[in-house]
Amino acid sequence: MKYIIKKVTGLIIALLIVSILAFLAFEIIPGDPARTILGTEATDAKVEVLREEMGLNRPLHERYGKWVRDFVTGDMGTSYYYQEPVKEMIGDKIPITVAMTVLSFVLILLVSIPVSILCVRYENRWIDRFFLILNQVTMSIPPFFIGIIFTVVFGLTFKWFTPGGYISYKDDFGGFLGYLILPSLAIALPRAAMTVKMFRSSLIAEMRQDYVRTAYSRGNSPWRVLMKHAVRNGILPVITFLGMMAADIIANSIVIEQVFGIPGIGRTLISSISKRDYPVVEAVIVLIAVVILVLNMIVDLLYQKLDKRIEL
Amino acid sequence: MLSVENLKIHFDDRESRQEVVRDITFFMEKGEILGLVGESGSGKSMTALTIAGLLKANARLDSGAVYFWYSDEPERKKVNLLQLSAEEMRQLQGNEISMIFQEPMTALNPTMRIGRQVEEALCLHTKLSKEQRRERVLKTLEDVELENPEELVEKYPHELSGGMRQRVMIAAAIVCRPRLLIADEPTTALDVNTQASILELLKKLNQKYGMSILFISHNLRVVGELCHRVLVMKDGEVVEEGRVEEIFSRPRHEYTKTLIAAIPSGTMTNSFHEQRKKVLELRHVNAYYKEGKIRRQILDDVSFTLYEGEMIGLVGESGSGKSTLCKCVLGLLKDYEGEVIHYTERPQMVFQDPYASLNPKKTIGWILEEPLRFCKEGSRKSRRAKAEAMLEKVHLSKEIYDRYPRELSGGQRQRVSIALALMTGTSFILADEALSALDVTVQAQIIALLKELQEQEQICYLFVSHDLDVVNMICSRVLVLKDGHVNWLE
Amino acid sequence: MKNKRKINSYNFTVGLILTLTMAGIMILGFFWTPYDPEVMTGSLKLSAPAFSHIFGCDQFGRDVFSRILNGAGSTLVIGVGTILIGGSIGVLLGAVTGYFGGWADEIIMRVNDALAAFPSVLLALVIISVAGSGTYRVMLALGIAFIPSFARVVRGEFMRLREAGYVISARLTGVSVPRIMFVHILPNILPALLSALTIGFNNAVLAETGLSYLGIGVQPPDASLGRMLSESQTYFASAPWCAVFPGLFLVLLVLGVGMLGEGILDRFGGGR
Repeated sequence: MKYIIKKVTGLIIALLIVSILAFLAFEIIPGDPARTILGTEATDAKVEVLREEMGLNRPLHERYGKWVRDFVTGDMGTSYYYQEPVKEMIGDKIPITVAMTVLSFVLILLVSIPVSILCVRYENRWIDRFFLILNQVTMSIPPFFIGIIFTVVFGLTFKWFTPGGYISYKDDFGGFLGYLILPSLAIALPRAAMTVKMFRSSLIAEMRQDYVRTAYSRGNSPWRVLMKHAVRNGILPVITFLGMMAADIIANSIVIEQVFGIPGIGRTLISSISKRDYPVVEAVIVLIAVVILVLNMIVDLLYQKLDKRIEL
Repeated sequence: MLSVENLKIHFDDRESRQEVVRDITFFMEKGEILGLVGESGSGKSMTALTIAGLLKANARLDSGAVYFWYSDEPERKKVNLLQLSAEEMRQLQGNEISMIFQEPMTALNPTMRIGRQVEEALCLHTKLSKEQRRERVLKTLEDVELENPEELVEKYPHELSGGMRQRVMIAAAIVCRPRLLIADEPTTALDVNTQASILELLKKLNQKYGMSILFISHNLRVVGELCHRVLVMKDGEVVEEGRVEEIFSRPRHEYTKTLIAAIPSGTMTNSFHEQRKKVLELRHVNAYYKEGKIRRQILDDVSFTLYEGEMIGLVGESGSGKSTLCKCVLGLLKDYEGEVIHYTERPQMVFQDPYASLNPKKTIGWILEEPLRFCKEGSRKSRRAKAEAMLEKVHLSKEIYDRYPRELSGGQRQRVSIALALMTGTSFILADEALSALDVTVQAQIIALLKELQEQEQICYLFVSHDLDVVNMICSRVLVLKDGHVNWLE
Repeated sequence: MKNKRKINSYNFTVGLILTLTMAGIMILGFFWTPYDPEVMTGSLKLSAPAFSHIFGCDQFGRDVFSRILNGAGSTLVIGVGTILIGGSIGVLLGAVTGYFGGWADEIIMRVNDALAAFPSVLLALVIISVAGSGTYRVMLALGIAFIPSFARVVRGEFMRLREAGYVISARLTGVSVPRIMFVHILPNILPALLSALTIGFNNAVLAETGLSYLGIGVQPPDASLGRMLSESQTYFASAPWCAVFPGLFLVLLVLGVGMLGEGILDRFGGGR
């Protein structure tokens, strides 16, 4: 319980830091938001009225407070460019990015866990060496390059899917997931390779531990020692690693959305950055940060559940 | 019951071939406790691991046979363990032949409940039902004299004390009632009192179940207390063999004599030096350690005085506050009440692990000259001369001046550590477990060096150790630290 | 054991050779390219690799090999610049917080953790969206974004080594704190630091190409591998060489540096 409280306070502090930094970052942008909205032709008086309306003349901490309050209640500001509430702009795009992130996670686990266990069971045999080399190469390929190759090979050559032919989850959920598999795989492959590297060395370290020798001395077979004793201990550092990877997956999904023409949150972010549509950028960034921080906390709690040595 | 014949094992390490066991032959009777004594590298653990079928992949068996009789019947079925398939061997492991290890914390799986670990051998070797297994586990935990077995089975290893963990290890090993228990240094990591109780327990189990025990240790005293018969091993060979009484009363081999000499006689030279100059005085020291938000009191009203040229021992189990006391004396701890008075220079420290105490990236010369360099003292030439003189003083060759720590042996490194401490001109050395990582013979050499420096240079020592035997042997007075209190050993 | 060593040493050797080769090509690109990377030759539009143009030509008839050389140059500048900025500040922060601990450490590491939970690319995006894009801004943005990761590695190593016997010895002898930190400790964390720097370099290269691919990294007229990939994606079916060669170049660079980092750890040890 104490541990949970500690983690939640940590989360709150982290959220505070991120929100202040994000708020300040967009505060120091040169240019007057009111003037940006009204355009260069607007009179000074008009701009002043809007400034008052938007609360821009209030002190910094008051504006921060209002911004946080609005954000929590779901009011994420209004887009400069489209004059639309940000919430509506990104609301129906969130599920797309979330689906892709979750799918990537699942693929990473599906690929990396069996491969790692196989490598450790046959350590230094040909299968281990093969995966070691494959890993090193896979890790070095940028996900968007994998994505481009996928679109050409599976899209244009094999015609398994139509590149750019995104299917909305509102129309056909199965088709939607089907379309997301290749993009998710493009994100997942390099990360699965990293996970294998991590999990493999963690498992090998566990297999050198004294308790493994004890397990052998009781008459356990090598497979049983690996599965019943080592995996549970060896997976602990991997969980932390996966938590840290959440940030990475989301960052990469921004690029991959572009490659496959998926209208997720990333595309909105990129187009808003090019249009200097700051309220949208700010909202998306803070939203992603919140998701990542919460994910990290969940990982920490999960870790504590599994590692009985952590108390407090 | 067990017979080892002409066993030869070597390690295949890269290009080098290292013989660890050279032609060993011995036997064990049913119900016998056989001690296997020797320092690290003598091949005693390797012999034990061979019998238990736990040899590492890079160990190669050259020749020999290990016969094991797994029945009391007159026709006595016997098998050669070395010729069994992996599957056949696994049926014996944990069932007929069990093993316990030195470090009970790491030898238990940290994320598995105690109950499951004790039960595991039953799952593998018997067809008992869940309830029968549970009953057997509880019974076995009682056998090893653990209280509240019902609660215990739900716990994890880190929730137990060192002694309890070793009892759990024993319980897990004997749950199938094996005919042979191999105990590899099972008491080395424990403090003196717990050591005694574990030895007592092994004796009882031996009598109760007629279980044979192969007991491996570097400590002849411990072996003497427990075993019926002893094998003394050195460099992969058995140098002496016999009943315990014979070995102790009439040792034939030189090495056995060294080992026996290392056992304290029990009579201490309690010479006080009140008239001598004081070096260090602690007056009513209470020290605290902050662990997260909690400030725990570690030392409780500690007072003692150290005189010039004296060697005081400080013993205590881990967690008794030894390292906090050291930090206090060294001035590395700020959070304390009371007085720590240094009448001379600050002490220098010699550490347990001579591998960690010398900067691996610097040469021995650089390391030794660092204290001089800092004082901006003398030219490069005079610094070198001083460093070389100091090397000579600790009986090291000048040639190691340009070597790196990794090129030296453990004993040589410990000599360099002592030299480094003396380079600062101090006459007070705090030795923290300085002998623990060394073999018995090297220990003796380092002790001789410390004694020599004590007499010739009037160096005084605060000698910290968990090993009462060693401390008793070399120190004039011994402080025992328990739960933050100190008392002089009578 | 035998086999492990074999794999390790090939990591270092292959990594070093690959890294040096790629670095050589990139540095060559600063001084010489077979053709002017900006010159468009109408007749050579999307022409396949041939003896005269070994990697073929792009949709405007520009020589792909020359453009790779040119684009890799900005990638190199950004990668090296990023680890110089992030590395120097990160080492300083990590060394001070790791060695001293206490409340300063607590505060800095809290901020650090909050930032580290944040993808560095995203952090760079924030900085770019505020400051604008372009080679040097991207470098600065990534450099700042990478400070936490370096600080974390260095802090961990300093925390571990501040309790090492030789450090305590040095403290007892009275060696000054900066000397302990930079003469006694730093050489011992070099393998870990170098390997962190290679990982940082790779992440910077991947981030830069990713940003450029999205059109918010390196801006024209500077060439960039990432932008070459995004521009050639449309022509992939008819002219795969426009995308494959820049991509392959990128993979080889990252692979080489990655293996070098692994090799450094294998050969010189992480100190553990």
